[in-house]
Amino acid sequence: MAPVVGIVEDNRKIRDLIQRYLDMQEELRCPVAVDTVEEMLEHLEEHQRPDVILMDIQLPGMSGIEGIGIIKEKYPEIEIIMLTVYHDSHKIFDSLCAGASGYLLKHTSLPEIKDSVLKLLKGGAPMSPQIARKVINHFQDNAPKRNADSELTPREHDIVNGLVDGLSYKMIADRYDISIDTVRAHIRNIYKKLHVNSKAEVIAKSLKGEI
Amino acid sequence: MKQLFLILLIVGSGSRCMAQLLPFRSFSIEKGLSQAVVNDLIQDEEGYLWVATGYGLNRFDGLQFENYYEEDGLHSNDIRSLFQDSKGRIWIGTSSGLNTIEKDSIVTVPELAPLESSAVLEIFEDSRGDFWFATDGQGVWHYDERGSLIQYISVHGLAGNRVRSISESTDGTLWFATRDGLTSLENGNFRSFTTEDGLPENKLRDLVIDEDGSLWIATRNGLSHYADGTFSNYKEEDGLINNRIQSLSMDNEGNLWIGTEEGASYFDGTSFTNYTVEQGLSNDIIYSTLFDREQNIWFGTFGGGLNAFFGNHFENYTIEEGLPNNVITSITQDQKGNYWISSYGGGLTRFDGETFVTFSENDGLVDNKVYSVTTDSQDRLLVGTRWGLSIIDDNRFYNFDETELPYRKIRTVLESRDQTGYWLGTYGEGVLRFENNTFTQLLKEDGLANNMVMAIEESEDGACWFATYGGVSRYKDGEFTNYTIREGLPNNGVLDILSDREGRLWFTTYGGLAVYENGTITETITTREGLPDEVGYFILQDDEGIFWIGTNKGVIRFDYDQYKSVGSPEEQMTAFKLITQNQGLVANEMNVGAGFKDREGNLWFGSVGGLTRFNPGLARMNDAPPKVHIENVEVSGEPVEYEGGLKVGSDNHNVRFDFIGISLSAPNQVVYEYRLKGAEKEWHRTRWPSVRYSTLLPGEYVFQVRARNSDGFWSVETASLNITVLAPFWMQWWFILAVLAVIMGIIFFVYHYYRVRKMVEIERMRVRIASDLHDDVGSALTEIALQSDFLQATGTDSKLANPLKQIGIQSRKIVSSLDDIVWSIDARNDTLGDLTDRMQDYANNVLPHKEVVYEFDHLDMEEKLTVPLKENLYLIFKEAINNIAKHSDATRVEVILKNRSGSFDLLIRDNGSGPKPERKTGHGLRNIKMRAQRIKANVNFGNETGFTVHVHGKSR
Repeated sequence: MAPVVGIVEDNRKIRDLIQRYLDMQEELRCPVAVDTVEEMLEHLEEHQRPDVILMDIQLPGMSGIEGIGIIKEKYPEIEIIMLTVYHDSHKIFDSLCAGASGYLLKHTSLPEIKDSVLKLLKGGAPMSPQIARKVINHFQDNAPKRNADSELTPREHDIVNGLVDGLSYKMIADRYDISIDTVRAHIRNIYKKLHVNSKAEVIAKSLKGEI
Repeated sequence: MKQLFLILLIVGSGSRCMAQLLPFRSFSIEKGLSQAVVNDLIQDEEGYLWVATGYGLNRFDGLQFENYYEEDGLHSNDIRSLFQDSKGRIWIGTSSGLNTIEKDSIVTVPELAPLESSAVLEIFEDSRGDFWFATDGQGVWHYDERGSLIQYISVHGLAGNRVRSISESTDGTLWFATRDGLTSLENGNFRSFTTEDGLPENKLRDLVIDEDGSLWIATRNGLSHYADGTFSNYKEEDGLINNRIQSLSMDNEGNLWIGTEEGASYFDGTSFTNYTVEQGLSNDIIYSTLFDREQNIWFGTFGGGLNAFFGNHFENYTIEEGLPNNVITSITQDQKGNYWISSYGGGLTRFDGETFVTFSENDGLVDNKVYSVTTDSQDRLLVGTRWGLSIIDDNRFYNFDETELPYRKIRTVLESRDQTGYWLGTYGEGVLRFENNTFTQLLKEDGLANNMVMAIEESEDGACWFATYGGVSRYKDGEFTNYTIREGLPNNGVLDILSDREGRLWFTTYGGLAVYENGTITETITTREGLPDEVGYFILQDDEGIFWIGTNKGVIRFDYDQYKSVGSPEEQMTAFKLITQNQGLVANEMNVGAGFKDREGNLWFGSVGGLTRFNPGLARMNDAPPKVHIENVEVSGEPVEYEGGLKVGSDNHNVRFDFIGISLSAPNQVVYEYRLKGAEKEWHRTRWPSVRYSTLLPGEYVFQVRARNSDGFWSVETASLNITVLAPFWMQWWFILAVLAVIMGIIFFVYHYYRVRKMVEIERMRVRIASDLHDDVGSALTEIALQSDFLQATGTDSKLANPLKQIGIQSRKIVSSLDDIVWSIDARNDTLGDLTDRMQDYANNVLPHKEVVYEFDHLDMEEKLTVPLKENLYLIFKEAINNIAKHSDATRVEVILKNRSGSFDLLIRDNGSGPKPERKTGHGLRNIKMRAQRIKANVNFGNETGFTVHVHGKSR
C-alpha cells in the first residue's frame, strides 16, 4: 500500500496542486489536505493517519511549528516535512527542533517534492549549512543540560561540521567513505536528537518551574 | 528816667563761690566697674582701657565695662598692675602672681609659677625685651622669653624688697622704686639712693622718666626730680596738693599729672594746678593715673572708681557753687566786668568770678522768674521777668507797676542802637517800644508776625528784627516785613536772632537754622544738613567765627566756613560737633536766649541744670581717631565665632554685627560707616554701633566698618571681617555636577532608548516586509511555478510544454531572487555567519558537482554586517558562482573571505582553463562591479590560472 501524505497549507491553490499531483502518483496517496493544524488534528483522530505530513509554517490559527510539536507528541510515527516559501533558516530550525524531519521550499518543483517525500520515507533528510551551523550551536549551547542519549555522536558531528564547511552530501559521503543515504540517515538522527534535545530542554525548564 | 521804685542795693544775698565744677566724668560700680578701688590703668593698642580693681579686671570701651574674675582664669581677683608688652600681650599682676591675655582669653605662664606667692605691683619690659616684675616683699624678678627667671632682692643690692615701680631711662639704666629707696641697675650694678642722697622720703610709689632722661619720683613726702645727679623736691608748700603721692603720668608736653591721697595736681614745670572733689573728682584718694591717646587724664581712685578729666575749658556752676537756681535763662556782663545771671525763679545773680550775690524779689526785683537780663549803653541792667520789667541803674531798682506797664511777660529787652529807647519783646502782647517813659505797643494787627516775641535784634541798617512764634518780623520806618515758612524759614517758631560778623542774620527756630542776607533768606540748615538737633534756643558766634547753638541735646559747635567749603553732604556733617555733658556741659538741655559771649571771648551757656562757662580757646581738637573693632557677630540671634573669618550657611537670617569705635572723649558721638563689600559699594552712616542684615546670599563678602570721632577724625584702619556665605547644597559644585550628570544620563538614556527603539522598529519593519513578501508575492509565484509543474505533469499539449517549463523556471527565479531579498532584509540574518551559511547553501545548490573549498579564517561569525554590505557581498558571490556554473569548466572553486580590522576581502577563484572573453565583458561582471561600487569596494578580476574575482573594501 502506497504511503499516505497529508497536507496542511492555507493557500488553497498550492495545496490543491500539491495534493492533486501527489495523489496522481502511484507511489503515494494524498487523501487529506487541510487549511489548519486544528483540522488536521481532527482528521488524525478519526481517519487513517498519514505517514508524512507536509506542513506550512504560516497558518491561520495554530502555527505550523506549534502543530508539529502537538502532532509529534501524539503521533510520533508521523514524519513531518515543513513547507516554506523561502529558505528561512530560523523557522526551519525551529521546526526541526519541534520535531520536523525535513523541509521543502514551496517552489520546489512538484517532482522534487515527490522525491523528497520518498527520500524521507526511506530515511533521508536535507540539511543546509545554515541549519547545520544552528545545529552545532544548539548542541554546544545546551551542553550542560544534555544527557548522553541526545548527544551527537562523533560521526554526526563530522557530518554537521562537513555541512558547515559547505560540503555537499556526496562530498561528506566521500570524505568519510559512507553512502549518501547513510549521510541522510545521520542527518535524520540528528533531527531527532534535536527534537529530543529541545524537548528535554523544555522538560528541564518545566521541572525548574521556568515555564 | 522815671523813678518808680528805689531800693538801695547793699544787702543782696551773697554766697562765696566754693569752686567751679570742671568736666570730670566718673565711672564706678553703677556704670559697670567691678569695684571702686582702682589700682592701675592702662590703655591698650586697640584703644581699650584696662582697669585693675581690688576685685576684678575691667576692660572699658568708653561705653561698657567687661569684667574678668578668677573664674575667667585670673590667679586672684585682686588686680594690682597691668602692662601691655611690645608684642601686644597684656600682662596682669595680681596679688598672687601673673596672668597674660592671649587671644581674648586669660592664660597662665607656667614658668612664672614662682611668682604666685607674690603680689605683683609693677610689670615692665625693658628695651631688650626682657620683663621685670616688681613684687611686694619678694624683690624684683627678671624674666626673659628664653625662660630664665631670676629674683633680685636686697642682698643683691636692691634698696628694698617691696618694689613699687620700675622704669628705664634712655641710656638703658633701670630704676626701681622701693619702700626703702631708689635703686638703679646700670651695667649689672645695683646702686641705691635714699634720703641721704637727697630723696625727700624713702617710701617711693611711682617713677616717670622725662624726655630729657631725668627721673620724676613719687614719694610719700612730695615729688622728687632727679636730674644730673641731684634731687629737686616739690612739696605742699610749693603748691602740690598733697605730699603723699601715689601715681605719676606725663602728658604729651612733658607736664606731670600727680595723683595723691588728697586729690590731683597738674605740674607744668613751674606751678601746680590742683583738683579735688570740689572740681568734680569722685574721690580724693588717687591710686593710679593714665594719660590716654586722646589726651585725657584718667584717675583711678580708692573708692570712687574711675575719673576722666577733659580739661579745664569747661567750668560749671550750679546751686552747689552758689547759684540760687539751676534754670539759667540769661547771662550778661556789665562794664565793670561782673556777670549777671538770671534764673527762672531765682532772680538775678551777680558773679564777679569768685562770689555769687543774688538779688530777688526781697531785694526789690519785680519778680524772681526772670526771662532775660541785658545791659544798655549806660551800664544799666534791664531785667525782663514774668511779671514786668526791672531796670537796675547804679545799684537801684526801677520797677514799673501795672498802670505804667500793663504788659507783664517781658521776654527780652534790647536798647536800640541810637540809644533813644528800648525794644521789649513780650510773651503774647507783641512788641513794646519804650521811649521817653512811654510804652508803644505793636501787635499782630499792626503787622507783627506774632504776638509771642522771643528775641529782638537790630541790624546794621537800623532795621529791627523780632523773633516770634509766627516767623520773623523786620521793622523799619514804621513798616513790618514778615518772614515765615513761606519765605523760607524752616519753622515759624523763631527763638533767637544773631547778627554775625559778616552782617548776615541767623535765625534759630524749632526746626533748624535760617540765614538771612541781602533781603532774603538764603539758606536753611536743619537736621537734614547734619544739624544734630533742630531746636535752637540761642545762637552765638565766638571770636574765631564759630557758631554755637544751644539745643535740647547740648551745644552745637558749627563751623560755617567749613560747612560752606566742603562739597559733599557727608563732609558737611563734620562741620557740626555736639558738645554735651560728656564733654563737660553741666546739662544738655539749654534755655531760650541763655547764651552769651563775654568780652574775654568766653561763652556762657545757660541750661536747665546750671551754668557753663566755656573757653573755646582752651578747647583742643581731638585728633586721635577712634580705634574700630568688630565686637560681636550674631546669626539668627546666636553669637557666632568669627575669628579669622566668618562662615555662615545659606539659611542665615538676621546677621548682626556689633562694632565699636573707641573714643573715650566722646563715646556717644562716634559716627560709623559700614559696608558689606561684595554686596554694596556705598558706605552707610550710622551712630548706632550695630548693623543687621536680614539675609546674606551665598558669596564672599567683607564687612568693613570705620569710625569718626566727634571732631571729625576718621579711623585710619577699617575693621573688617571676611565672610563666606556657603552656597546651599543645591548650589554646591558637587551637587550641580551630580545633577548635570543625572541630566546627561537621562538625556543619554532617552537618546539611547529612542535610538534602540528606532532600531528595533526598523528591524521589525524589515521582518514585516520580509514576511509580507514571503507570504503574498512568494506564495503567488510559488503557485504559478507549481501550476506549471502540474500542467507539465498532467501531460498537456506538447506545444505548451516548453512555455510552461519557462513559466516555472521564471517563477522560481523570481522566488529565488525574492528569497535573497527577504534574506538580506530580514534583521535576523545580519551576522557574518548568516552570510557564509547562505553563500555555502547557494554554492551547494548551484555547483553540486564541483569541489568548493572555503577559507573563512579568523572570521567572527557573530559580527553584524550592514544590510547593504551583506546583501551586495552575497550577490557578488552569487554572480561569481553563477559565472562559474555557466561558463567555466573548472572542477574546483576556492572561496576565501577575510575580515580583519575593518576591511574585508572576498576572493572567488576557480581552476578553469583559459580565459573566455564573455567572462570579462559579461553581464555578471558588470553586476559585480556595480554591486562593489555600492559598498565602496574595489573589485579585481584575474585570469592567470582560472578566473579570480577579488573584492576588497571596508566592512565598517
